[in-house]
Amino acid sequence: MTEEKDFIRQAQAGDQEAFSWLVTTYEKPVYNLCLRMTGNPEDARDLAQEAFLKAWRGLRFYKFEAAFSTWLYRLTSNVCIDFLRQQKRHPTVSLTVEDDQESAVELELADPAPLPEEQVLYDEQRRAVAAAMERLEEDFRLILTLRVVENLPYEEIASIMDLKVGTVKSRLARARNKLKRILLQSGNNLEFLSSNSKEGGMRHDL
Amino acid sequence: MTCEEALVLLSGHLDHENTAEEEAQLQQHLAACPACRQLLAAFEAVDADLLSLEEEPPADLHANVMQAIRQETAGRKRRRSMWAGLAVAAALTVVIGATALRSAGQGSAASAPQTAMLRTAAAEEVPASAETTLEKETVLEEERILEDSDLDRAVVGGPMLFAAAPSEEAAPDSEWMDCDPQELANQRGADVLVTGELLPEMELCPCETLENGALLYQLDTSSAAVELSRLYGAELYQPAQYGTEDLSYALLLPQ
Repeated sequence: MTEEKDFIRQAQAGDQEAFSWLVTTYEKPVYNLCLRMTGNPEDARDLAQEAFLKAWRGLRFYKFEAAFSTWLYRLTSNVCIDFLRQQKRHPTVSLTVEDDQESAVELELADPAPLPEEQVLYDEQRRAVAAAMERLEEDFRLILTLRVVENLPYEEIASIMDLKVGTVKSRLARARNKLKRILLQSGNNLEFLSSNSKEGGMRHDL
Repeated sequence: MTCEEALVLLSGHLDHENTAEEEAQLQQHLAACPACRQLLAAFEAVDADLLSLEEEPPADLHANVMQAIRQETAGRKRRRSMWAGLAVAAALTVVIGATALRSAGQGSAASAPQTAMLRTAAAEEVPASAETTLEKETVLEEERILEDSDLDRAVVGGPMLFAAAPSEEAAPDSEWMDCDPQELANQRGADVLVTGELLPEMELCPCETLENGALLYQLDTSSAAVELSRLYGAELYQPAQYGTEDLSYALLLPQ
């Protein structure tokens, strides 16, 4: 972490190489936050780039009061939320993007080789969860991504989202419950989900 | 424990954020409640699926970010030299204005707000060639005014001998802002952001020079100032009453 602080100080003084180190360190979490917030790899790539550019421009405002990751996650979630609000203001744009999103998810998960039935079910299930996330309110989507994908503790989530730790806990419970309900409503069989989860065969390690 | 109470603890259990006591209560409830056991399994499955969606970033993301930064930095250097020219013009206007005020016979107690106004025109990068005889003379006049007032935060730098605007490190100085941006926000009926440097978002916006020499940029939407303030941590002034136009402003305090 002291290594990170050194890089941050150098980057604050205008050292692009030092900033490059920070981009390498954080590009995966930043990109994945954008990906889950937008549900679309193209937008996620643009927003991740925008977030890093804004981080570079605003780096001198970072005062080492919070962890750098907290600052960067907060900045990135603001970039994503601004983008989603703009989309809402221009619904025609948003419609085309939704079309893109579906094809993007198809592309992302398609595999030309014939798949075992188990794999097909697993891919369908992932696609269903990705689609359900897109139907979730922004705040729920953000908090679930920060917790489950980014694996952040409640305390850091509280700083990023400006919430009390107790609120983080209850909001995560509501977010999970809502996501589960969306999956059920869109015809997903959660018994299948849960039995598959216990076997854990196809799953990434937690 | 009701199932509703168990819901929060189920979530806390998955996140390893329950206290030992909460965990014990939850286990007791789960032992007696098949519905909550099923819910826990469903939550576990959804979490696992969510995590499985994690991807590697695009291979060119890093290179694209760094390229954009290099381009922007190169562009900014070019603009800075343009900016220095503008600052000289603004500074001259203010110096003349300040001299006029001083000769109007203001006492030292009343001169503090004027000095505060002067700080808006402070410029770091003033080319030496811009020094004219007129400037040298008025600068000397102005130096005397400055000596009279509270200059705790003032830094004398360069041939212009202006009180310095906030440094790279500091956010815009709140003392400085007492007199001005709030009034400006009220006058214009729009949000006013105060910034220490020309932000990239301001570059293409229409700009006017105020009477006190400060540069005021007109942002293209009413929410732009709020967004910039959130992004850069800059101070925002909101009017007592909003006008009807969809715009906001950024007030530049050059460094």
